[in-house]
Amino acid sequence: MFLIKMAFRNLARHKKRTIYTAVVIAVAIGFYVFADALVLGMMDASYENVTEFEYGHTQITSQKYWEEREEYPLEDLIKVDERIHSKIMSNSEVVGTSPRLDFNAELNDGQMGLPVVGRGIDVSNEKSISRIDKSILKGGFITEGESEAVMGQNLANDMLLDVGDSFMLVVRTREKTFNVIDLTISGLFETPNPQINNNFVFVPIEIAQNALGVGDNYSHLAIKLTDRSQTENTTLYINSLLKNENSSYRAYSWEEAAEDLIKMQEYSDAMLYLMLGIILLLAVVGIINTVILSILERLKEIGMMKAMGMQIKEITFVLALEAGGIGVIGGIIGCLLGGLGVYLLSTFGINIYAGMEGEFDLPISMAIIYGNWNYGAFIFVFTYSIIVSFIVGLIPAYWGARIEPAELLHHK
Amino acid sequence: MRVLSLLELKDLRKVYKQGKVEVEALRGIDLEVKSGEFTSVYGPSGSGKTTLLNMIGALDKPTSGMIKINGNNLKEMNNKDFALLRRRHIGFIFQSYNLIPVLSAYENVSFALKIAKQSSEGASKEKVYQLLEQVGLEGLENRRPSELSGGQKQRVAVARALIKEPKLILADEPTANLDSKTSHEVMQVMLEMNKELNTTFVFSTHDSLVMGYASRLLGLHDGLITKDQKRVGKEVD
Repeated sequence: MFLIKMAFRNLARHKKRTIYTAVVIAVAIGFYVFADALVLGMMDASYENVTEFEYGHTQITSQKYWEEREEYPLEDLIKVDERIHSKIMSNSEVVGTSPRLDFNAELNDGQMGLPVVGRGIDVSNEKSISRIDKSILKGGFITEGESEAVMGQNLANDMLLDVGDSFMLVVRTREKTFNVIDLTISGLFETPNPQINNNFVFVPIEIAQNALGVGDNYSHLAIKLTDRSQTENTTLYINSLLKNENSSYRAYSWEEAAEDLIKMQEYSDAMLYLMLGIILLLAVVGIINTVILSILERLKEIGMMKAMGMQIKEITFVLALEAGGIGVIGGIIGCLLGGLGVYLLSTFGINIYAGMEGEFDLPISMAIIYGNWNYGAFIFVFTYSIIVSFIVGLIPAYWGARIEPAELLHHK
Repeated sequence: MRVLSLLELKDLRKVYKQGKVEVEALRGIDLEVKSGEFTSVYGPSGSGKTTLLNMIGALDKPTSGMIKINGNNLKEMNNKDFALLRRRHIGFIFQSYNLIPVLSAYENVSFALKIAKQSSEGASKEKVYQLLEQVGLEGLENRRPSELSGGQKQRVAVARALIKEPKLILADEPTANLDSKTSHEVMQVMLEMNKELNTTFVFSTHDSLVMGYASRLLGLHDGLITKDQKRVGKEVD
């Protein structure tokens, strides 16, 4: 305790130098904490996007369909047995389920065509598991059994379509023959998910099933849970249920479905660590410089410590404590700065993709992004800065402590 | 009663290399200092006083010869042993005080005790206050060195050297930066401590006034002891 007190007092001997070095560390920490909150907020919004608009928290489908899912095939479709469905619904974490039939189609207004993904939905059930009906900007949602469709406003703009306009979805049936679904636009939506906005056309499932000749089968059964954190456990539960019932279907979590997004987060994390590393490298140079200057100014003092009987390792520790102290000061300032940034970010949010709508095909959120508090990041980076500062301080401290006492004491 | 030798030097030599030139700072010193002596080493600048004190204090290594402190032959010791020897048995007082500026008078003295790891927290506190009172610093315990006069700083340095109750205190020109009145006061304190605690003092000086306090005078010239005078009425029994 005494040595820590002494280290902090020594830091106060050259306040400006200490503050400059600490500020470099603080900037690194503040930046990391802020960027971490932003990335977390961004990823959280993106995860919300994929669960709310694309996959649900978990989905049941056949293994073969899963392997080909990106092709939207009409083979290997499913129909979950009513008994299994009841058991799934009896799980307290399950909020609702909705069958979806995804298919390739060409959106055609009679003059031009655009490839899109058609999605047949059970209108009433879909409302209980996704927010698509709440994302309607203009017009209304589709009605069960009616030849109506909703699509993203961007997509409609591209095709010069509006609410009330008629258009065709040209599809290939399960029997590989062409068919046309005549539809009227009942509403236009805008979700925070660019993939849905730009590529998907929603129609009543019975209309799609009829046109595609797939009977009452569908691609997957989307399941919404009470909370995203329950995904893993509930998916495991559903899978064991399916296995017990000798079903060939399997449940897949949204994380399995959104592999690209998960990879993106891993990439973002790596970038964050890299940036933190680069800025801390600057801080390291500052710390070494500060400790060397401090030693050069106090050679006699160090000589005195040696004369009093302190050993090299003890003096090294005392001097490195000062470097650690800079880490503490930088850590505190950095966490305060970062905390302020995260507070503003979580309160007011930031629209980092403003004006870039339609330029992304990943389900990253286009809405205002709010920062997520991650207390673990604060603790990690604060501890990290102290440890790094202390370790870095050991190098010049050891150099200073090794000088012969007579040389130190008679240094002029 | 026979007084034991605390310090023994035999044919002690120290050669410094300055580029290609070799400078003989000590040229064969033979010396025996008994426990409780108050010895002054005097001589002109460059005579080897500081070098001699550095050798005795295990702050520097001799080129040849033998140093024995309290029966320990320094030749058989490594750097860690030197540190432990200084920690337990030797106190230092320097011309420029070398106090730690960020610590108060109390903390500077207490720091020496903490390094020596000799007393419990409660006992050491009492001991430090008592010693500071003995050296005339009562009421100034919480002042930092920058708030003390030269004489007061040197008293702190004396207290710091004494707190661990070493067998030997080495003082390199302890009064060189002080006026004559303050020099007297500091020497008086050192002498009192020598008598009260029977601590052996070896101090270097230019000042004849300071030499007047010594029970033994060692004249050093060009790295050799040219005079060794024990003074009547001041010698150790």
